[in-house]
Amino acid sequence: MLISLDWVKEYLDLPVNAKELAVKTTMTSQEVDEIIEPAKGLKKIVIGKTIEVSPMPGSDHLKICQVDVGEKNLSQIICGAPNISQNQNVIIALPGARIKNNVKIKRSKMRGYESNGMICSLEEIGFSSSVVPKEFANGIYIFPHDLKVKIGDPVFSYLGMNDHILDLDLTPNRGDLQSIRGASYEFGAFYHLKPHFQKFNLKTNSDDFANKFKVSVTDSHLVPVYQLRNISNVKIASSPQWLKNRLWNVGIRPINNIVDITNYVMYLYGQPLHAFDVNTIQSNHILVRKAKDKEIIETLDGVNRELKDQDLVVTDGKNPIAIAGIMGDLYHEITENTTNVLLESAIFNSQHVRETAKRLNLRSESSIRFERGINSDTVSEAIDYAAYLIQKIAGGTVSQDVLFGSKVELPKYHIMTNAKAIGQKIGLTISTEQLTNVLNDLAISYKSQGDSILVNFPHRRPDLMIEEDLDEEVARIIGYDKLPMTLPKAQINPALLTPLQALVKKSRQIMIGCGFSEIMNYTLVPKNEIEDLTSKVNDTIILPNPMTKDHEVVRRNLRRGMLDVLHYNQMRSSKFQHLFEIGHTYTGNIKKTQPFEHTKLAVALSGKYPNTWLGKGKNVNFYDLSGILTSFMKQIGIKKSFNIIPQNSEEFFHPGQSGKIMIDNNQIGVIGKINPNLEHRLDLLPTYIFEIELNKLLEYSHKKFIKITVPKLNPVERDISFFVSKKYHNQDLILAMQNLNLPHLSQIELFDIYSPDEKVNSYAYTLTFLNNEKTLTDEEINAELASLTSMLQEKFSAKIR
Amino acid sequence: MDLEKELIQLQKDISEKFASIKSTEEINSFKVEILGKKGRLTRILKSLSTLSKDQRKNIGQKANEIRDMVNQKIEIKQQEIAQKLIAQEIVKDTIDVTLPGKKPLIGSKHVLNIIIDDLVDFFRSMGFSINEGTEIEDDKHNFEMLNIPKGHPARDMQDTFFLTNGLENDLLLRSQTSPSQAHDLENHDFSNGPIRMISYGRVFRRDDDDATHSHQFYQMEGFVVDRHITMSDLFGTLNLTLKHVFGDDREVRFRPSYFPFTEPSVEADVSCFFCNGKGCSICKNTGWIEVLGAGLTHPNVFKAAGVDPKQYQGFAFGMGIDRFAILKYGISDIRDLYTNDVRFLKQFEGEN
Repeated sequence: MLISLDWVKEYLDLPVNAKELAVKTTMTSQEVDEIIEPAKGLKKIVIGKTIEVSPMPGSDHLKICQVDVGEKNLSQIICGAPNISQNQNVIIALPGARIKNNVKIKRSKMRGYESNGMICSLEEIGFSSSVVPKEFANGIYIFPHDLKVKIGDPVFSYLGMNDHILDLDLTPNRGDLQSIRGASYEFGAFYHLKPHFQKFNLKTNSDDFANKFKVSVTDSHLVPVYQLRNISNVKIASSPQWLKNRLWNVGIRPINNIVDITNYVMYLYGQPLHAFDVNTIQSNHILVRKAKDKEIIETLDGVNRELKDQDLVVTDGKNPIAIAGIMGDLYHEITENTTNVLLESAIFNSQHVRETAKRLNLRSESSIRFERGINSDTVSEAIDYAAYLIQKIAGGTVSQDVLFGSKVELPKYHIMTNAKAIGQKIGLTISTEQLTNVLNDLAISYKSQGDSILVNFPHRRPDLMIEEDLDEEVARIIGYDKLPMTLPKAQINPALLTPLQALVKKSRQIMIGCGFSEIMNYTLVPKNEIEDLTSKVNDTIILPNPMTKDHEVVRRNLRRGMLDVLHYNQMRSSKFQHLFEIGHTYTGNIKKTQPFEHTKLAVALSGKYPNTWLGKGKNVNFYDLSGILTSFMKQIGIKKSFNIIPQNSEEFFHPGQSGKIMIDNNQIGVIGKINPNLEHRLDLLPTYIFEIELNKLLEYSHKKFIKITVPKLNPVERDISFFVSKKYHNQDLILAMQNLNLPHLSQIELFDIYSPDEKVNSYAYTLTFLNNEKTLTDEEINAELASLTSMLQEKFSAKIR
Repeated sequence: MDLEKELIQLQKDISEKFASIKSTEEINSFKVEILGKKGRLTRILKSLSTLSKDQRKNIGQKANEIRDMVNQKIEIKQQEIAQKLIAQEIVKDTIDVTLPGKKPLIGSKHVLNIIIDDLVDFFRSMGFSINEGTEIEDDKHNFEMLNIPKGHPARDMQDTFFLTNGLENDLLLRSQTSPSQAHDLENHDFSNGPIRMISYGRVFRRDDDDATHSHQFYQMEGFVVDRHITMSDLFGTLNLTLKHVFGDDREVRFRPSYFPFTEPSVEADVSCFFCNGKGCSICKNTGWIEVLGAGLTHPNVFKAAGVDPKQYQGFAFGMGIDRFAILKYGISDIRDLYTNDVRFLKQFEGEN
C-alpha cells in the first residue's frame, strides 16, 4: 500500500521527516517496506518549451527541435518521439543530467546534427509504465497547456516527484490504512495530532432524476448501503496535473477526469466508487442482486466472465453491468463521449467480494478495499466529494436526488474497560490518564465513568470490536518497547517425551552413530512413484487439486524417495552412499476414515566402499546392511530377536535378496536389494535398503530391567559343521537348534558357509556352552552335542562332517 | 684329575664359554653341557660320594655354588637375549603412524533437526512438553477453531492443500502447526496445571518452489495458557529464545502485527547478524531481520475450545525452522534443505 506523504500533509502537519516516520510506523503500526523518493538520483531535468520542430532531412522520424530551456539561447535537441510538436511544455534532460538508472546525458551529434540533451518520456525519468497515461505511453510527456510553469525550472515539483511515498506491508485487518484519511489518523496518533480534512460545499440542482431512475437491492444484508448520484453535462478530458500527480504517486494510472476522480476519492476515503455512463443504461433501472449461475459478463478488460450464484452483480434490471465492487462491464463505462454520469457508492459484503475476486482472479483496488472492510460513516461523504470534484473539474450539474437501494445502519462496537484491566493483560501498570491519552491520540471517543471507561469504536476502524483489540492499540501506541520482559510464573510439570518421540530421537542418534547421514524428502510425491511400488493398494491419499505432477500424492513409504536421492547424488560423483530418513507416511481411505500416520525409518547403503591404501573397496552387499539392522535393533533395545523371512512378492526389491523383517508374527519392515528392473531404470549402483515402522517397534522396546549376573565360569566352545540341502536357510537351522532348548547351549554363531555343489550348503557353527554353577564335563557337553546332531540329521538330513 | 682341579677348570671354562653365547640355542646346549644328565657339573656332583666326608663337604659346597651361579647367569643371559629380540622386533614393526586410519562411516543430522533438537532441549528445560500433532489435519482445527472461519482473508495467506472437497469438515495438509493449540485446548485438564507446549513439524502451502519459497517447510509453535499470562511474559520468553538461537549479543525488538488467532499480535526482529545492525542486503538495509510471529491468544480461540477467556490468558508464537536454518548457516536456497545433496549434508557432520 503506497501512502503519499505530500497528500497526507494536506491534512496533517507531520513533525518529522519521512525516514523517522517510517521507523515509527514500522514500530507502532505497519511494516514499511520502502520509502520511495521519485526524484532521487535525478538531476538537471527541467521544463522546456519547443519553439520550433522540423523534420531531420534524411530521417523518417527524427526531428530537430529548438527548445527554450530558460537560457539566453535556444537549445537544439534531436528527438524521435512521434508526439512532439511546436509549442509544447516538455521534460528536458540537459547535458550533464542524470536520468533513470543513473544514466548520464551528454551533448552529442546525430547524423551530423548537434543535440544538447534529451526530451524525455515519463518512463525515462523513472516512472513505471503501469502509471504512465496511455496517451503518453509511446512518446514524450507533454504538460497541459493551462498548467502555469516557469521554463527552465526543475521538473520535479510539477510532476509530484519531490514526494516521499511509504510502501506499507499492510496486514489484512487494517483496511482503514488503505486510505489517505486513515493513514492521516494513524500518523496523527503517533504525534498527538488530529488531521484536518477539507470542507466542501456541493451545489446541486433540483431535477426529476429520482422520478426517471429507479434503484433496488435484493439482498440488503449483503449490500447494506447502496446509493447513486447523477451528474449530467460533464465534459470528459484529461485530468489536471495535480490530480495526475496524486494518482501516479500511489500507483494508479490517470485515465480521464471522471475515472481519475473516482480513483482519487477511493484512495482518499478508502471508499471505492463506480461511474457508469447513464445514457448506456436503457432501462433507467439499477438492480443489485446475486448473479445467476453461469451468467456471463464481459468486463471492461474485454474478458467474458462466467458468474456463480454467490457473486453479487449490479444489473440494468436484466443483465449485469458490473461485478459488484470488483469491475464494471465493457458497455457502460465512461468513455470520451460520456456526458451523463451515474456515480455509485456502496458497501458490498467483504466475503462475497473476496471469493468472487479470487475465483475470477480479478483483484482490483476496489475489491481489496471491500474485502478488508471500509468506513461506513463516509459512504455518502465520499460520493458527495466525488460529485463536487467532478463539477469543479469536468463541469456539469449534480442532481440533488440521492437514490438509495439500501441503507442499513451498521452495528457500532463499544466496550467497558479500565486502565488496570488493560495493564494486567499487557504486563505494564498504566494510569487512567495514560489510557485516555491513547484514546485521544487515536481519535476514539469514550466516556469516563469513575475508573471505568466506555469506549466507542468508530466505523472508521472496522478492526476494533473487542477488549483485546483495545489492548493492542494501547500497547502499540505506548510502544511495545516500553513493556517489561518477564517470564510466566507458573507450576512447571515434567516435560517428558512420549515413548514414540523418545524412540524417534534414539533411532536418529543410533543411525548417525552408525555413520549414516540424515535426509529429508518431500511428503508430496509424484503419482507414478506410488504406482511403481504398489499398484494393488487403494488406500493411497491423492490430492484432488495438486499444484504440479511432482507433488500429487501423499507418500506411503520413504524408500522410493530415497532412490531419487541416491540417483541424484550418484549423478554428482557420489559412488558410495549411506543415508537414512525418519518421517511420517500416510495411508487410509480418507473419504471414510481418518488416515493412519506411520512413523518410519528408511536406511540405504549404496555403491562401493571407497578404495584406500589398506585395500580395494568392495561393493556393498546384503549382509553389510542386515548387520546394520541387527546393530540398530540391539541398540534400540528390542529384547526379542527379529527374523528375516525371505519373500519374493515385492516389486521394489530383488526377489532373491529381500525379506520381511518380523518380530513374533508381526511384520515391522522390509529389507533387500533394489529390484534389478528398478536399478536399471534409475541407473543405480548396487543399493540395499531397509525400512521399518517405528510405531510398530514401540510395543517391543519397553524398558524392562533384568537382573544380570556376570558368569563366574568360562564358557566352552565346540565347532560343528555339516552339509545340508539348500532349501534350508541358516535361520531355519538356528531356530531348530534353539528350539531344542539344550540346558547349557548359550550361543550359536555361524562362522563359515560354502557351497560344494548346486544342491548343498556346508554350514559351520561355533556353539558356546555355559554352566554358571560348575565346570562342564566333556560327557555333559558331548551329550548335548549328540542330541543336536541327531536332530539335524533327522530333521534336515544333515551330513555331519 | 682330582675333583677340585676339575672344578676350577670347569669354573674357568664356564666364564669363557659364557662370554661367547649369543642365542637361545647356545644357552640350551651350554646348559646341557654343564647341567645336563651327563653334564660336567652333574658328573662332579655324582662322584661326590666317592670323596671323604671333609672333601665332600668342601667340594660339594663349591659345586653347588657353581651350579647356582650358572643358573643365575643363564637367566640373566636369557633376559638379555629376549630384550635384544624385542628390540629387533620393535625396529622391524615400526610403521608410519601418520598414514590415514581405517575410515569408519561418519553420519550427520539434517540441519532442520539440528535446529529443532536444539530448540526442543531449550524449551523442555523450561517445562514445555511436546505435541507434534499430525501433518494431516482437518479444517476445524487448522482454521475454524483458530478464528479463521470460511471466507476469512487469512485463508488466502495460507493457501492450503485440501485432501477432500465439500465435506462438512474437510481434511487437509496442515498449513501451520497452530492446530496443536486447538487440540491442546480441547484436551487439556487445567487441574493438572497450565499448558506449556511446543509443537513442530512439517506444514504445507500452495507455493511454487523457488529459492525463497517451498510448498513444504517446518514450523515450531509455542503455546502457554494459564491465569494471568501477560504480553510481558511473551516478550520475556521470546527474548530468551531468540538470544539462545541467534546469540546473546543480539538485540530483540517487537512490532505490532496481525494474526487471526492472536490479539494483540507481534512480530519479532533480531538485530542483523551479518552487519550488526548497520544495514546490509540481508536485512534490506533496516539493520533488523524478521524472525517470528506471536501474540496473546485470541478469546475466540479459547471459546471455540470451551475455555473461558475471562479466566485464562495465553500466548503463542510460531517460528519458521527453515528460516532459522537459512539464517544461521547462510543457506542461499530453501530447496537445498530438501534436495539432499550429500555435499550439503556432509557439512553438518559434528553439528549434532
